[in-house]
Amino acid sequence: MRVAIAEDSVLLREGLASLLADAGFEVTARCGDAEQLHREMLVAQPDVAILDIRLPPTHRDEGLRAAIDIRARYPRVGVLVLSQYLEIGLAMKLLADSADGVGYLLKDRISDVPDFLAAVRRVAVGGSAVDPVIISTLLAKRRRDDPLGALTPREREVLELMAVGHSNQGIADRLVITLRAAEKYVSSIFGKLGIPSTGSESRRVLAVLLYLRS
Amino acid sequence: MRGSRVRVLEAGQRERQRLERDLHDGAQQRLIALSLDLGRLSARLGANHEAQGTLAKAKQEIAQSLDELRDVARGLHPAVLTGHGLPVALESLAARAAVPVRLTLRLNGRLAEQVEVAAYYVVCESLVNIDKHAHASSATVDLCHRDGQLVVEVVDDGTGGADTERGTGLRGLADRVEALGGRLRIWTPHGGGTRVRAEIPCG
Repeated sequence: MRVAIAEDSVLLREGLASLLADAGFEVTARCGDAEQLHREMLVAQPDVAILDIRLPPTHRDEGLRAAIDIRARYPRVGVLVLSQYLEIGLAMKLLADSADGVGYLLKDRISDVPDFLAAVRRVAVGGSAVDPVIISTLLAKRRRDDPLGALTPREREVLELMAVGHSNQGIADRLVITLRAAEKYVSSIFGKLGIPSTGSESRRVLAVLLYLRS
Repeated sequence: MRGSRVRVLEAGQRERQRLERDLHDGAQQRLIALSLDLGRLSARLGANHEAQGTLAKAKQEIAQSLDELRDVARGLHPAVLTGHGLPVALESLAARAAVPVRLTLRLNGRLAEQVEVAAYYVVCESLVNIDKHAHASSATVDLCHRDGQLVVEVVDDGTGGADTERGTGLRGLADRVEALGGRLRIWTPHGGGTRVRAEIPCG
């Protein structure tokens, strides 16, 4: 798998590149800003681009714009956006059209190596990776007549895993249950919340996010 | 007089923004890199339980430090506002509130930075007060830019009767809004919810 990195801190850029190389990824571009990433995209041919959300020159929205731009120009390339702050507003903006091949994680997550690598792989093949803290924040809201209250503790766990982008198999592996059991939980959750359960894994990520936000 | 108050406010804001940036590019970035090194070490170490335990603990300490630094940095300056404007920043505030918040924005593009920052703090402080004191079940946030004014209104359906003299939060908000030539008003009848309304001139 080929990865392009755009991160202005040399320390982190190199650390990230080594981590990915250790795990067998081919790092084909190491960029200090979004402009360089754009220039190198055609040659680097990445499966996934990992971007810091704050990039030079102004450190405002360069990273986000680059991510949205890459999604539009190279639909087969996944984008994984890393940030030191989690902003639900940004998650919604990034995922607004589709969660296919999109990730948004707190930068700290790179130190949980197996989880982080799994997220990179998911995004590279068109899946999603939403930071778990975003989901838990949305779940923590006090709602009147809350359908979420009808979920069993286990279903809540499954909902959280589903919303961060895990497949049914991924959920089954994590909870050490059978694939069939995971599928049953998922369809029961959709039934209780009244969300249509058709579509890809990333489509259901978006459906759950929109449900939790409303 | 008003000009000098605005200048003082701006200078303070710039300084806080610089500090936030220093933290973001300095200590926070270094801690993340350090944690990444520990993560790589742990991946290479294999099944040495004692060493893995020590590493996990060190990583946890770093995570805790990062959380604390993030809170400090957020308190200094809401970087999301500078980077992405009011709609994104307010959506995040609304999502973090403990009760459901309906957000209605009628804005045409970005406003002057001081105006955006003031509006952001009015909403932020009001939502914090709602979570802490109002016993509300929902709230609305409305922003409307019209006739050279930004009108910000935060309304909850809680118990009302808020003590507007308590703490420095509301006083600080009023100062900030008044320095920009605007005004802040609060209606909070007992049993009738609370309405905070700021009108900020913005050309």
